[in-house]
Amino acid sequence: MGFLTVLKKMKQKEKEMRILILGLDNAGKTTILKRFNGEPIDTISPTLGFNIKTLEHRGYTLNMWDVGGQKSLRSYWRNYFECTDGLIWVVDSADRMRMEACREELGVLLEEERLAGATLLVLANKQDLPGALTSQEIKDILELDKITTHHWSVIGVSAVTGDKLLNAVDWLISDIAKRIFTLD
Amino acid sequence: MGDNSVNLNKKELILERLNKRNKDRQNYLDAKIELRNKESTEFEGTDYFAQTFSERVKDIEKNINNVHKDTPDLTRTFASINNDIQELQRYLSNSTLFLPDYKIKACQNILNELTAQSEDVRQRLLPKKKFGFNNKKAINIKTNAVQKNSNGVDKTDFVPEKTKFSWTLSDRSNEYKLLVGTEVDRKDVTISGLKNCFVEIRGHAGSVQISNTDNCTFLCGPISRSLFAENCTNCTIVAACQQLRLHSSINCRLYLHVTCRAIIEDCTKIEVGSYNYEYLGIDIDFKKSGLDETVNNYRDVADFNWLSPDKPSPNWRLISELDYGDSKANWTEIKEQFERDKKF
Repeated sequence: MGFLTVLKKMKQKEKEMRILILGLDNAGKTTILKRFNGEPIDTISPTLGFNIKTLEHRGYTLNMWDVGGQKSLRSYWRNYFECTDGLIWVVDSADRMRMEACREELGVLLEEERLAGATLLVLANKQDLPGALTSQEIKDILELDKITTHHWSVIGVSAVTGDKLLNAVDWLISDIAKRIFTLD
Repeated sequence: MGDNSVNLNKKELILERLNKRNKDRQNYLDAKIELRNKESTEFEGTDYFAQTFSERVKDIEKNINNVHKDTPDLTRTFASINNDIQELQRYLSNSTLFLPDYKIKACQNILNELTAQSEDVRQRLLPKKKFGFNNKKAINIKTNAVQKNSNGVDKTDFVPEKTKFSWTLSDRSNEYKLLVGTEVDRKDVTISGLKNCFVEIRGHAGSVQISNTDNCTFLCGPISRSLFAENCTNCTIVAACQQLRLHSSINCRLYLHVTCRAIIEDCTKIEVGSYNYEYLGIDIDFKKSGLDETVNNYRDVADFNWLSPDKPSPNWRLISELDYGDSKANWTEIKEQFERDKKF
């Protein structure tokens, strides 16, 4: 057994993934993180800075980074790009006024070289609200069909009710796993 | 005696079989170990990788170029090409450990190009099948759209009605406007481009968004979720909400009941006081909005442009700490004053 083989095996054993959660302010990034981690979500206020959570899910260790989405914080997003395996882009599906801004910010991210290998999961959040756009509509508005550089998927979820959140994260994990870890 | 000899024979037979099986197993294991050693040393070289990779790329390219309109069973051909590309991707992923970074990147680029190429050809030859992670619902919508188009409906009409955005109130000046009942309850109220206006929003809105307003007064009943305001100058906003975000605004006055937190960003000259709007039935709207009437964090405004914890932000102040202005503004009087001014 060669030395490289040993190294490879070790890396596979770690099964660690780094996931970055981004989106405009008030999209629900922190709520998604807390809901996924089983924490209370009723006292969340706009994130000044960032939150990190490390959690175990389906045998993987997930390092989740949730960075504040206010305009003044977006310039700091780039500091978190390195070594990102998965990018969760959270959209407030009821915020029709700012869909254009949302599309532009996502476009900038996808051109980022350091995110080139990352899987993109777009969460059309707040599906519990009456005025929410569907995931199909979000897909059209954000022009996701044009993305060829990343593996991507768009899923309508509600962080408040927890609906479909687990399915969405499971898709992300299995897509990353297919890429990074060989399932032999 | 006869029984014994039979037993003995049986025992021997079994032993022999066991031995044979053991030997087979050992041989098989040895062969496997040998093969694995060979693989891990021979196949883990950058040279070997480069060669294999480029060979496979050539194969795939050839396959893609060979596809033309008359190729039988196009779908299957593309599936097999895609499979090959994925296989190659897996090979690359497995080899990342002993490859230098630039090589990984270069190979990844080649792979991306291959994918794009095959997608291109597929689009050309099998235009209906679009790439995407469609769920069943999505496919239904798509087929509807196609049907619509074939019925002669203009393509731009296909944009679903819901995605078109329209403001609740926009581009007005010198007006008094009252929004009530079904216009407000559980809705997302959006306001833009107002000048010298006085707006009352009575009811329990889901959220309120205000942008590009000058010299206006907004009186809002309880808002279930958030109030978002940007590019406001010389405005007064009176609102109860779970969260308030004020962006890029100057010289504004806020009278707030905020159960989570208010934040400001790129704002100056902001004055903050306690909520004091009242109308008949506001207590019912409070209940329906789900806001906690006993919690008001209006004193705890976070300024995203002021990250120093020990010095207070110079961009906002509490009205109660000012030596001018009154924290108990009388909205009925102010509205009457507005109506009188408007007449002139």
